[in-house]
Amino acid sequence: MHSILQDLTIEPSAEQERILVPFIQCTKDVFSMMLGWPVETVAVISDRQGAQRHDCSGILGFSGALRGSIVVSLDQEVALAATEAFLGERQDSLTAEVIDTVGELTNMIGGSSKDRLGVSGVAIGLPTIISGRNHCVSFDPRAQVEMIRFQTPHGPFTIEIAIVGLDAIPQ
Amino acid sequence: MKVLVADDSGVMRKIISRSLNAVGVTDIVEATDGQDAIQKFIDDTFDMILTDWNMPNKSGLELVTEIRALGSSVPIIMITTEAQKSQVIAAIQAGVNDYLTKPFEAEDLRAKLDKFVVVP
Repeated sequence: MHSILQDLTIEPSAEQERILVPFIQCTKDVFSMMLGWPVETVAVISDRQGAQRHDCSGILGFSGALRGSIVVSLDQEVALAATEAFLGERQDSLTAEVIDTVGELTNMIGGSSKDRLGVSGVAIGLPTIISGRNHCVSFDPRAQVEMIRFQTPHGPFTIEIAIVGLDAIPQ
Repeated sequence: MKVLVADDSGVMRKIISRSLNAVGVTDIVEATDGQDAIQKFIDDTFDMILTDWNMPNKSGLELVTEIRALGSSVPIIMITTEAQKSQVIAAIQAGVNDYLTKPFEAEDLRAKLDKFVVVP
């Protein structure tokens, strides 16, 4: 098992590991480098589509050799703290700056993870943001969905990865 | 020194502008996408351009290609999540002078700027 998964209580399959390792590594890198936050991986949950409720979610689609999406979801307080770390300015609600911050975090996590999957010919779109208390995001029922729950000094957040066509990822 | 910053993310434009301020550049024009950037480039004169790759209306790669087609040799730094070797090569072939992948540390951007920024 890859060392980055060792703190988890699950025994990931080889297929899960191929997805989880790049996304966890890139998520940690983005939060560490852009926000200065240490991030701990708390849990990985498979195939719990639509079960999570959040305040602000960034969605980034993949197309080409791999199809699917990544959703980065934060509660309002974490999103506000991330925006403050990004810009040095405190926001009181889900303002345009907060929405933009969540979009950029999603873009960086999805974009850099895509390159670490080792699949050529994968394109990313532009991030879409959903805000609204207790919303949930559903995925293509054909997709394998992995949800990773992280903890930061300012609260928890999750990323959900939904991929159709896992065969394209090299072993 | 006048710098054009093209990124569809307002927070990234602020972060980049703050780094430019830190190396002494205060004359900064922001563009919200590639189309906005090419229009501002045509209407004004810039000493350096910092651009994202993935933007609506016109991508950073298209922006660079159009600027070079206009005969300009202005230094261009691309700041993007696109990190695959083929993409870096495509950007360099289009005329990018330097390339910084997101995420980055503040010092990484500062080092790139130091190569091109000339402040009297």
